[in-house]
Amino acid sequence: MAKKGIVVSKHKYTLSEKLYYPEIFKGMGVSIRHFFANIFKKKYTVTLQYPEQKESYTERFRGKHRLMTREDGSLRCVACMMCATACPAECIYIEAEDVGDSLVEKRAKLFVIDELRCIFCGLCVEACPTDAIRMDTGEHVEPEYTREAFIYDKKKLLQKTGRSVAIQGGDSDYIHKN
Amino acid sequence: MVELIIWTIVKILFILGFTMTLAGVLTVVDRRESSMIQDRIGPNRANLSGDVWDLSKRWRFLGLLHLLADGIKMIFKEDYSIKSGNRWIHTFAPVLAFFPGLVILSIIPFGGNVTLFESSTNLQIASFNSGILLAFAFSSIAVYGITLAGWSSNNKFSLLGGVRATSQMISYEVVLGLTLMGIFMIYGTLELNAIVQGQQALKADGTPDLIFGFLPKWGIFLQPLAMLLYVAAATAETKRAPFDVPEAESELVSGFFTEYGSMKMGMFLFAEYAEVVIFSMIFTTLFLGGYHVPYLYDSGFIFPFNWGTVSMNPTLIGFIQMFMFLLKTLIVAWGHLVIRWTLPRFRYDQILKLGWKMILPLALANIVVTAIILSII
Amino acid sequence: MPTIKIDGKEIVVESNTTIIEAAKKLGIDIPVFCYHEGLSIAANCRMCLVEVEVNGRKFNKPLPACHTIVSEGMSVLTDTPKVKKTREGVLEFLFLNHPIDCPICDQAGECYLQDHYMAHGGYESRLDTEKVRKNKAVPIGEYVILDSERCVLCSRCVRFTKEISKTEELGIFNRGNHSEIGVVTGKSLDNEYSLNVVDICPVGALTSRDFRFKKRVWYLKSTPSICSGCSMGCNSFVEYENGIIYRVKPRENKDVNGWWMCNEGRLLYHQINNNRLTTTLTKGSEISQKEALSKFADIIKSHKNSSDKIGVVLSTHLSNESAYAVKSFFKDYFGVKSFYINNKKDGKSDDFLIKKDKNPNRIGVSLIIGTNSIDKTLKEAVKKHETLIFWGGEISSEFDSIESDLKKVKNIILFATNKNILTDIADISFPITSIVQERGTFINVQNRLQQFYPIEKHQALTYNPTDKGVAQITSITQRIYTPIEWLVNLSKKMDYNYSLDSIFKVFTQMRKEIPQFTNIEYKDIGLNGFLLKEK
Ligand code: SF4
Ligand code: SF4
Ligand code: SF4
Ligand code: SF4
Ligand code: FES
Repeated sequence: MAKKGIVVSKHKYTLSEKLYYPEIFKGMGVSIRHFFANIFKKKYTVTLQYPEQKESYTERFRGKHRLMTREDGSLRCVACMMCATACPAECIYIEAEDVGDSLVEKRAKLFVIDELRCIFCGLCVEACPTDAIRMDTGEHVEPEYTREAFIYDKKKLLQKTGRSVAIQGGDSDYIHKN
Repeated sequence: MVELIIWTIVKILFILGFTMTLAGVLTVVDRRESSMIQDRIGPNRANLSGDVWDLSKRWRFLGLLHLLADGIKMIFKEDYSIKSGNRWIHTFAPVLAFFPGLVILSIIPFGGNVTLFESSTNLQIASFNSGILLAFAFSSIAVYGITLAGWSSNNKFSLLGGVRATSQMISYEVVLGLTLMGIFMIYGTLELNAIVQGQQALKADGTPDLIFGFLPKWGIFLQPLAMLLYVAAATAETKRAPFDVPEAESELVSGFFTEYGSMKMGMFLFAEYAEVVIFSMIFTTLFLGGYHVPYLYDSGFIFPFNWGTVSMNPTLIGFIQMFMFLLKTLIVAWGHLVIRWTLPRFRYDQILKLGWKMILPLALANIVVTAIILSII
Repeated sequence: MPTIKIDGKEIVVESNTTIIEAAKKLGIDIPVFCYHEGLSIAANCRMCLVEVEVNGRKFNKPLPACHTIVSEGMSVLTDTPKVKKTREGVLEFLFLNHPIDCPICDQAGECYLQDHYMAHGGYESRLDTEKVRKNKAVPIGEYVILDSERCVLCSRCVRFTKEISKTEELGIFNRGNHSEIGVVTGKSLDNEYSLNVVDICPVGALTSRDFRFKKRVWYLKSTPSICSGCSMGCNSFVEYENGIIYRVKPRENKDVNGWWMCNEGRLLYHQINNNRLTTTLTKGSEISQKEALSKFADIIKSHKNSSDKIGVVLSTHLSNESAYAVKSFFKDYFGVKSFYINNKKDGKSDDFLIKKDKNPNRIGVSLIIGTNSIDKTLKEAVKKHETLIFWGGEISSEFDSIESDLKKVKNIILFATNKNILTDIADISFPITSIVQERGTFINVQNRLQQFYPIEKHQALTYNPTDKGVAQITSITQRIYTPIEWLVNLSKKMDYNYSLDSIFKVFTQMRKEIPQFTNIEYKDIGLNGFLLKEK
């Protein structure tokens, strides 16, 4: 048996709908109601007067990235590239560098995020094993005049930095004993 | 003779000034009104107070300053002229779209007879026998501006817009004339002042000529169907929503003026609002009794049902009538904007179907019925 | 020839086969750490434990698959709960003191511990005392760095230095929890093959100092290639991203290099990444390709009636196909008779892989040019010819003695991969692809025909990370052509109809002309090469 399609019944127009004008007047009635309600009391209007008034975001809002530092002020990022690998927009570019000690060993020489390409999915934050990158600034990326200015380097990403004492490497003794 | 020239110049300046100001204000009102209808706030940022953070302390004049800001912006924007296409026609087209419409103002009676400094005049720039036909003639010239703009831009969107405008406006011109036929038959004239007079006349015995004893003989009451059809046809003529297919932002970028910038584009936009004002004036004249105030006659108020009379100074009456005309125009223009922000755009074929298959037969039927009734009476 | 069953699948194998080899034939995967085909069997990691039944009787304890020889009627089970439990247990012990450094560990992505944990481990740590700490990031030689904490003590590296390099630098010291790999006092891991321990180390304990932190391995793409460091032609994988090579690893070929490769060959890739010739030059300064080609064409045309004044010098780094194409182009179209070979100096050698002859394709190029021209030296050439065309810019062994005469030669045309003195001298230099950027074949010292493949993008070259944060790869203004493509360009310029425009056409032609190649199809060469018959 042939597959049956879905039967959609056509809307039957009533006489007043067919005449069109009554419907137009009804529509105009709605327009006029809103017009007068809004012009005197802003009854339906919900617009916020940005930037004077701002909506506060939820805590989980994913804003501009920032890089975190350790207690001693050094960058927490160990250039593991987990964020760069997880990033679906491929907008993180990292170059690693040997620190030269045997405790941290590796850090990011370059850490660059192209905020124009970023889709603010937050996967980088989830991927980071060291709590080095966060998106909790609660801020949008500011408008800039050139494309290059949206390429945030370490310096820009550190502007909003904070100390994170999250345990690195999973072992609570690991960082403190050394 | 000198008197006549001075009066004419004064009248021209007055009506032109009024139309231009109103058209300008409408550009802002349109935006504010639409935002009110759509539960937004609309443009309210332009202000004279500079960098004051507190919104309530800024001098914003309800956003009317945007008119000024827009004007300044339009004038100082780069006067872009196209590299390919016909540059002369491209430059000339906005002029052609804008000015012919203004000629229509000359035949509109915007007040009764006033006497100032012992010289009296009818508040109408020119009185033609052909009257309203002149209006049709000039409004059809405007379509050339649009068609040429579309064609000379060398851009397919523009051309499509231009072609759409042509066929739409030519179709609706026919309809437009026919919808008004009933009015002309009733009042027996094409001259607009005569039509206005006809709408609120006194009977031969000096009593008011009213329908059912209380309704003035305005077009809207005598020809309600013609009124509805005329509004549809005239809206189509002004190319405004729901008939704005020549512009059709969502399909044609900006239609016929896609390739325009700065004040040239401004002229197209302005022409649109000027047309709205002119439409409102004609509508007022034909259907709302023109400058008439209900029950106010040359000698003063004569209320129906023998409620009494109030006699007034004729000059005062003249000014009241002029004021009434402008007020009616304003209200009609406002209503026109409400229509725009209520209805979605018709599909292109629907527009032509509506014009040729619905409005045209109805208008013809209206003529026939009117003729029959008139001959019976 | 015992018949055994593994997980119910039957197979007949040679006697003396271990279970793990039999399982490999069946495509059954048994996790290992210490077992390596190229090394002796230590059976110390116990990761490969499987349950074994012989004639219906099950052994009480699981047996190591890498060490147990099959016998008739044996039935092996690799998928029982007991085996799973064993694997989990072994892994738990290995991870007990493991630092889990994966974010900073170069092995991450190709680490046996990671793989096995994901497949067979998956438990929570039960350790609540402190982990045993050991030395981290200790350089133990010029190329290798050791992290004792990550070591699983599989002893692969120790066995390598004992059995393959025979240098015995590494050993296991201390006892129990504190056992660790170390270098024997007074030595350092500096043998010619030391980087192999990095490959065989199943975890991140031994890592390469050259590759350290350059790239995470999962970004790398891999292309089979041949090492051009010496005439051994070790099989290799070239690993790269975006046209930049990051490391070279040996490719298993039991007939040539086994599983190994020398350090020098591995590090040769720096030459391909750096200091490349990327544009056409004249005496060291840039000109456009078009100009260079028409100049070249003019020079050749001027020798219309004096083709004996043209000499063509072929480098031993050219593939057989390029060499043949060059030869046929000049011989058949211009009647050039003088072909020379540009040999590299002999170098050190040993009795394992490193060969004295540093020319990867001397045998192939000589075969193609024909024996009678081999004796002719460059010394004669520079005196005899007005125009010398160098294919390949390697500095020959005779260079010092001919340098002054070379400068007197009227026209020197050079096709080279890298910038060196020759590009400064040459009247026109054309950039050509290096062997990782083209396809072709070499003949190695064993008379084995081996092929290499191009990496994905012809890009390249100098890698300058900038402070601005955007890594820039020096863009190539002109395309780099293979020698054959240059010949085609040239023939177009000179309105010749040159038909050998792909290596396959060249190879077909070569088969007709050169007897050693007669019976070979290109596809026969495969990844393991094809041993040519001696003529
Ligand atoms: S938020 Fe998403 S797109 Fe943006 S950098 Fe992080 S992973 Fe990439
Ligand atoms: S995942 Fe975290 S530690 Fe790793 S590179 Fe990104 S920011 Fe640095
Ligand atoms: S050896 Fe493997 S498991 Fe250990 S830190 Fe390195 S990648 Fe991670
Ligand atoms: S260093 Fe690597 S190869 Fe050597 S024993 Fe440890 S894990 Fe095995
Ligand atoms: S692989 Fe068998 S014991 Fe290590």
